[in-house]
Amino acid sequence: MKKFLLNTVKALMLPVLIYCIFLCICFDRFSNWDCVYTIFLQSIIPTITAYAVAYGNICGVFDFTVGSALIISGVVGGLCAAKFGMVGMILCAFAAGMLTSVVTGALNHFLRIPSLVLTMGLTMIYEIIGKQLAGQFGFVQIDNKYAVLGSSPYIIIVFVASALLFYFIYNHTKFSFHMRAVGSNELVAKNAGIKTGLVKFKSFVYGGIFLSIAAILTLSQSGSVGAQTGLGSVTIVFKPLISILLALVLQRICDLTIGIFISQFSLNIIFIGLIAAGMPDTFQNVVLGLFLLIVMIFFQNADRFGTKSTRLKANKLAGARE
Amino acid sequence: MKKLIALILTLAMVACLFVGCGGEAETPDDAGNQTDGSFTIGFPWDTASTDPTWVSIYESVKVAVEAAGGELVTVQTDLTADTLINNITELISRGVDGILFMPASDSMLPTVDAMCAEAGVYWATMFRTISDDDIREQIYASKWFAGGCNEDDEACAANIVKKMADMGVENLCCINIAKGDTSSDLRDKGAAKGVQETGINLLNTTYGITVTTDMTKTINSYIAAYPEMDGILLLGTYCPSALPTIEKALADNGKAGQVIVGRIDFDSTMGDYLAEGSFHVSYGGQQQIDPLMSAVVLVNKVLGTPINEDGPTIIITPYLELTSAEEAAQYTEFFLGSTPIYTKEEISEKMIKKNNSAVTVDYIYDLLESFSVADVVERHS
Amino acid sequence: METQTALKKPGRKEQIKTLLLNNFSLAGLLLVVVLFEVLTNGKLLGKKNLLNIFNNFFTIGLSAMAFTFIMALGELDLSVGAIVGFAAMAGAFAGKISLWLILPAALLAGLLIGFLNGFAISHLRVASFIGTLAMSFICRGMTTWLLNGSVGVPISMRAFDADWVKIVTFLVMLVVFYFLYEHCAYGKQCRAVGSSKEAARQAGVNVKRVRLLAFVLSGVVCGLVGFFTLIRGCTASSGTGNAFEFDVLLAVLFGGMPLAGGWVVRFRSAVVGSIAMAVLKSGMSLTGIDGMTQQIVQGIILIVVVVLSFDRKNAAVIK
Repeated sequence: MKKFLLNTVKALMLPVLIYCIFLCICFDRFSNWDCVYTIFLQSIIPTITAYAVAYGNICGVFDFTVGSALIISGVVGGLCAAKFGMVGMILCAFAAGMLTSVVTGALNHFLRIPSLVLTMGLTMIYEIIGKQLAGQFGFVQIDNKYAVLGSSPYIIIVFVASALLFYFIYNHTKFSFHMRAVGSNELVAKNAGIKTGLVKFKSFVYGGIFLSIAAILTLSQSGSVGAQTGLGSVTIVFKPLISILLALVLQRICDLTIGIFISQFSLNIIFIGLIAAGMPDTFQNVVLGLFLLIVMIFFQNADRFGTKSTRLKANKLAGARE
Repeated sequence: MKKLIALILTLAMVACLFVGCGGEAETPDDAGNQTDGSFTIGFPWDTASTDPTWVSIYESVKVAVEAAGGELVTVQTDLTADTLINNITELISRGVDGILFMPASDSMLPTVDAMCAEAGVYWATMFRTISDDDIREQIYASKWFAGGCNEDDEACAANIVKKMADMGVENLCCINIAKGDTSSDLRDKGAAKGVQETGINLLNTTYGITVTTDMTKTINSYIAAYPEMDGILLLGTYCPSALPTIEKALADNGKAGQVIVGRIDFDSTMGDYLAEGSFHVSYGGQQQIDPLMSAVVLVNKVLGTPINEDGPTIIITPYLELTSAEEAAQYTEFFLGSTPIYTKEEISEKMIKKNNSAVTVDYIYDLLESFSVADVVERHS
Repeated sequence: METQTALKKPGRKEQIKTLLLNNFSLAGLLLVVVLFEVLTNGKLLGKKNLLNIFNNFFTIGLSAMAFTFIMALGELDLSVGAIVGFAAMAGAFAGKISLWLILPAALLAGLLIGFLNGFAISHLRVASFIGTLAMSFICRGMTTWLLNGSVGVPISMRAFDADWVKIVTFLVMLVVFYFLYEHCAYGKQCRAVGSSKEAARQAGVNVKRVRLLAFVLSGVVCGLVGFFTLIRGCTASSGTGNAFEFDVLLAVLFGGMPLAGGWVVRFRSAVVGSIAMAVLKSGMSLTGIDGMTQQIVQGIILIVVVVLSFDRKNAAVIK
């Protein structure tokens, strides 16, 4: 427990460091509790979206459909809110999100083609389904009384529950071991008797749970969900994906569940920090790209940059990966 | 064998292209030779959009073309300069007589003019002016440029900032379409002018938001980083459900009604917020009249009866101001409904020079002077 | 493989099946051409429309050919569109100094980003998906920031947009890339590395250099595409090259190119896929199909093409 706490504190140094940098740049605007709280709240939905992508990512499956499925789920939830109230909204959004994920997972299982190709094709189809469901206006809007889950403390409660669920599935189920085995070497996993196809299918299904939660929270927080076309929904996946990649770096010292949140929190500090510093918003992409690139370079080359002990550790890790 | 087939296919394709290039150049028709009979107008537009405003733009162009006896041909576009150039090539290859489009930038226009001049196709623009002096001079001298409509985006942005300053705004944050778009740049310029004249602070501007989650994030960030912010101005956006998202974020932070919200371009969701008092002012209404008038300018030119005999017909359509829920409801019903702001009969009778020789630039401006939400309601209710 | 074939001759049915599967992309292209030629009453292959198809296909085809080398390595490049935009911006700024600098500036910009991509991936061990994604964020941000709007080049530059210039350019690139891929050591090295990095290394292939060069090659071609995009519209803006990476990826996937890399990656997939996509888009547009239906049709065709043409037998695992 002590080690766990110590490591978590170590991992938290990343957002603290970034926060301190922006504190130096714009102390007046950054030195208030509201700012930190807003960053925290803004990190919740991308974190849960990242949870939806994480299982597939670890299995080595790529899923472009997450954004479009999130839109379908949100749109269906929005449509049902008007007819069946909040419970209807939650259930219908959940059902739509799960159905979309199950369909994607099943097609991936039965068609046996690369997930990148399949999910790219499916995204093109799902986007139009979302657009058709959203109707003439291209978006659905809910009454504010059904949007309570999007504001605190409810959003925090949902987040904690989601994080616990993710942690449990990721660390304490048979699936989690199989998932890691498939991710590290699918052929070896297959030969070891793991039903790799089923594991990948499950990664879509479990991802669907978090995708649906993210859709419900998005709908509740924004009060509306808009459809996207022309593969515009794909960009929704990229930022959560970046947080997963960063979390995989942090995984040496903290669990992926916390790591994803810490990464997302760090990215949001950069986002708000640049706004507070009065930098042009185009700078966000440059900083985000550089941040990702630098972190990945350090991660992949720890054996070259680090001390003797870290080099040994990194070599061990690299050995384990291979 | 497979490689050979692939190579043969590719070479066959390229050979076809050489044949295509090698033919005799098709000479452009002389200006004004098409005085009667049917004609086709090409229109690159996002046909995948079901947004009522976007649909109403398409309907406005269609009704104007059909009122003059023409047919509208649309091609799918994402409105970027590269795609528009490809769209125009395609429309030319399909033998259209005129092309109407919304330019992505000034610098693409000489290319369009060269392409259209080569093919003998008239062209017109909508929603956008030509800011660059050299390009404007060059385009206005072209006999293939029919003209078009635009709004004074700069003045509109300056005016709405002044209006918001009058409402008590002192610290303003803005949201705009991606940089590089002519309207976006002009509205930026206008907002800066308004800020300078009123002495209020422009805290930040965010560009190119296309999804609701990013809109929520931006508003929350504004609230967190700029506690003094008391005004949000939506200079332009392609984000669906932009206004409801902004309102929701403000409400969640207990700022609804406290922060003055304004926007350029009307949308269908304004009414409720105007009634609630959490949305305050919008300048717009040009989304329907502008494309309709631009199409009128083009079809008159294609029919050989240009509105302005001495050069391109440039019309600056007015921005309407909307501040009440009642007007917003009327706007939704009469501007975004199934009937366009002018019917086919009205256009044919009033705006097609072939049918009404009184049509001149001044005549059009007289029509526009009486154009308002109330005017459309009166004519169509 | 050859020994096995010699030992056991496949049956006629098997032969036909193999022939069909191996030529699926070609058959698909022919089917699309015939279908839309009929549906459009012969307009599809009309003189003017052929040029229109070529204009749609030219830039995608060029990038797809260079993309083949990256795909052969089993890698991905998500920064293609961003490099095109960045190169167009560099060209537009260089044009302010001298028009002669536009092409070199665009090519150099492409080369620089391609080199950075390649270096990060080959020497700094960053996964191509992540490295190129990060680079696309950086390039897009830089392009938008530096352009601060849009920058034009003189209309006289359109002389280079002439059809014959593009056709000649395309043919030259086609021949160069074809020989580089099929008949030079480099093309074979790419496929060898994609098939097994370790085996290639053991065979004396300089894996790092091969990987670096593939990204440099792609970057330079993106620079060329950036140049042609710039002179076509005579403008560079933040939207230049937007989503181009998806167009290129879709084109090679339409051509049936496998993602796993190695010896099964065929050069023709890039060409056939690019043509097929351009013909499909043109055909749908000519038949008056709206944007939403076009997207659905593309999505379905992509899945169907890959389902029918994907070589499951030789794929140990399907990711």
